[in-house]
Amino acid sequence: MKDLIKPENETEAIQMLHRYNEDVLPQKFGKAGKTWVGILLVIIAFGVYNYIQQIRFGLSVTGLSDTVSWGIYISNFVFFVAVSLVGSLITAVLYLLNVKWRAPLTRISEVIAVSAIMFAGLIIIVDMGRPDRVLNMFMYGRIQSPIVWDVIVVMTYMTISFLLLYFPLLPSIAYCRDFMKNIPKWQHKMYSILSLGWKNRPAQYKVVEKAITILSVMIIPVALSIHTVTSWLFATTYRPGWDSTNFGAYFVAGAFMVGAAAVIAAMFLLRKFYVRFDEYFTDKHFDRMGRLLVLLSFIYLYFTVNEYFIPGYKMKGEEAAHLRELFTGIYAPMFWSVQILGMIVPIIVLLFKKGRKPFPIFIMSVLVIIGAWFKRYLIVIPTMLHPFLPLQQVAESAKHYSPTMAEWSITSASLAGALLLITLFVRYFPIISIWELAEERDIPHHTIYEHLNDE
Amino acid sequence: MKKLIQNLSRKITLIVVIILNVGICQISKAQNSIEKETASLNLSYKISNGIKSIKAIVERKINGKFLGVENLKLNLYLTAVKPYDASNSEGLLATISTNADGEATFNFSPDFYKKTAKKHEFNFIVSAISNPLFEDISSEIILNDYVIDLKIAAVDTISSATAKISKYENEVLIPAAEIELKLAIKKTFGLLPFGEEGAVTDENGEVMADIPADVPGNANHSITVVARYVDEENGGVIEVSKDAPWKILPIPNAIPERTLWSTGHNAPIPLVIVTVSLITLIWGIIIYLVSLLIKIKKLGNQKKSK
Repeated sequence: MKDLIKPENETEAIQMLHRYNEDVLPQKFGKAGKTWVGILLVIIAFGVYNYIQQIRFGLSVTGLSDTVSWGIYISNFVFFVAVSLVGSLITAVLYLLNVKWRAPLTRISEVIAVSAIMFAGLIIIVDMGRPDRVLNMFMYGRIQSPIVWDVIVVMTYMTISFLLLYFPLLPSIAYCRDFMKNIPKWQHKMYSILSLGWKNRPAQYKVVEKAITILSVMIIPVALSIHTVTSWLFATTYRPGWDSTNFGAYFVAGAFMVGAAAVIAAMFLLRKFYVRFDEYFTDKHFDRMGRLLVLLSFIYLYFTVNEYFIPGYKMKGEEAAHLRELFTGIYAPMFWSVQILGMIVPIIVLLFKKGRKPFPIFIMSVLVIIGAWFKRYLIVIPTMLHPFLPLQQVAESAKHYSPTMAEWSITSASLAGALLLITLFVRYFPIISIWELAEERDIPHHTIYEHLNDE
Repeated sequence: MKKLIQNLSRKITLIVVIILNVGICQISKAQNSIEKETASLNLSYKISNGIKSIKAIVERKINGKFLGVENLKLNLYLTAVKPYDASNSEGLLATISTNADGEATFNFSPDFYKKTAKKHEFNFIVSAISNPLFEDISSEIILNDYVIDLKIAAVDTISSATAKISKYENEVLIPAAEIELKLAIKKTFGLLPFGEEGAVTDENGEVMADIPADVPGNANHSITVVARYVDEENGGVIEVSKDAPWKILPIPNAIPERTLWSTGHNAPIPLVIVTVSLITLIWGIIIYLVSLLIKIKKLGNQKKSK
């Protein structure tokens, strides 16, 4: 695999930057791309149809009941929030730590973050039988309620993530505006509007860099808040499995892990379908992301042991019934699959250098992502079925929960929607930030871009 | 061949005519068989401090559950089902519709009290007739004009309540003995009974009980004592209430007003300060960042310095 070299003089640097930009320019979809978008649209259409049914007939089309009022919609919400944390990890944490190899990964991680947090917000509304009542929360919400905190923090994080995506994107949009040929008029107009008259002026770069620094500092506490507050939705409720002081840190650790896995999977797929992307997502990037994923998995493993070992050691009251159901009961196959396939196996494989090669690490990342989704299922549903007050004089159906076809299709549509958003971004915007890449390689991109503009 | 086709077409025509006839018969049969639904009508009366009212509840059974019939017009008659007679206030008194719970309460005008001042036994009839959806329903209720006199007396620190119930016999008010007359203190969500449980009136029609000294009053330094007789035979309640000065004030709410479990308006001040400060700070920075976007646009519009 080729590694990028530093240019020897300005002419070479200009040529190199020009080539980089040309490499990452958005391309029209081929057959595979169109098929992929088609599949996503079909899944979304089926989900939209079922959501219309849900609005017409209410939550009766779901498997939700008075007992299990939070089903896979909320599991999915927690999953989306977790994935969205990757933006702060790659863009902010690694930026502040001055980790230079992160440059090609920043944009894809921010796109994943923005898509995930947008659909996290949407899925919460989907979970409401009467979506129009979301306004009541703004009009009559209690500031003491973790649900209100969650809504505030989700909106704030969404805005910050969007800005963190948009600021570094400006030079790239301007490049598309100035150098992309044979594109429809509307596309050119879109680039013109979105580029905000970007001219590659040093003063403009200065403003962008300032904004990125502010956002990178600000997004970390907000990102930690978003997942901590999401965990408090559960932890502030007195129920077996949720009554934990460990939950905030546990959720954040899990979120960083699944976020890192999502970026690795995206890197692999982009490299596979885009020519020359192997120059940007190199084996070194996979290796380093693999190391990062192992570290994050170990942290998550540590919290998981704390979360289950201590209550499992004590086995008190209702907590014991809940844990038995997870360890040896009806949820045991899912619980152990999540722990082993979604955490232990990836840790073992990624400890070895060969395991951090693109294909094995991609497989491990997919396992982590799937495991993370089911982990959220295990956090929400078994606890909902174990309230402290025994379930008496309730319908037999209220003692069990199995998601209906409507729930599965709406949930799948939300996942497909997030993927479609990422796909469309890749279709219309450069997915690698070349000016940040130039900075990583100490290429004086300010003057070079000026030169390109003058041409 | 031609004959065969003619024969076949005749048979088909015959079958179509038969099917159409059967269909039309079925439709007309279905139309004729639209039956009116049945509903139940229950009446009760209440005399509170001399003010009379009649409450009607109309229900029907759906899937084993009794549900109120909404918007059903009910007529209230006194003595007999006939038009209103202004001379003695008999006949049709009022027409009202049931609410969403199937309930309708009839109250009476001052003119009614004036015209029936000498009447002490009433026979009310409530009916719903000629309704297109429901069968005719009707029910009667007898209202006996009991009189309750309630007195509250205080001796030293002990207050007591004495209630006397009387009924009319041959236009004469006589004490009603052996009647279970309950004494209670009115609280926000109900009545707090006091005195001997199941106490009945003596030959003077009286019951007496000491008011518990430790009961807190209301903010106006008073309590409301209620004497109540439940007429189980006819389905009614007769009650009288009286305010009395009271020294014991309401117990102040031991729970601080501003808590995590209070209403939104009563959120703890530190929480409000922290939350509002954080939101202001973060969104202030976001607004500043948006202003940087405008700055970028302005910088782009500036001419390049040479």
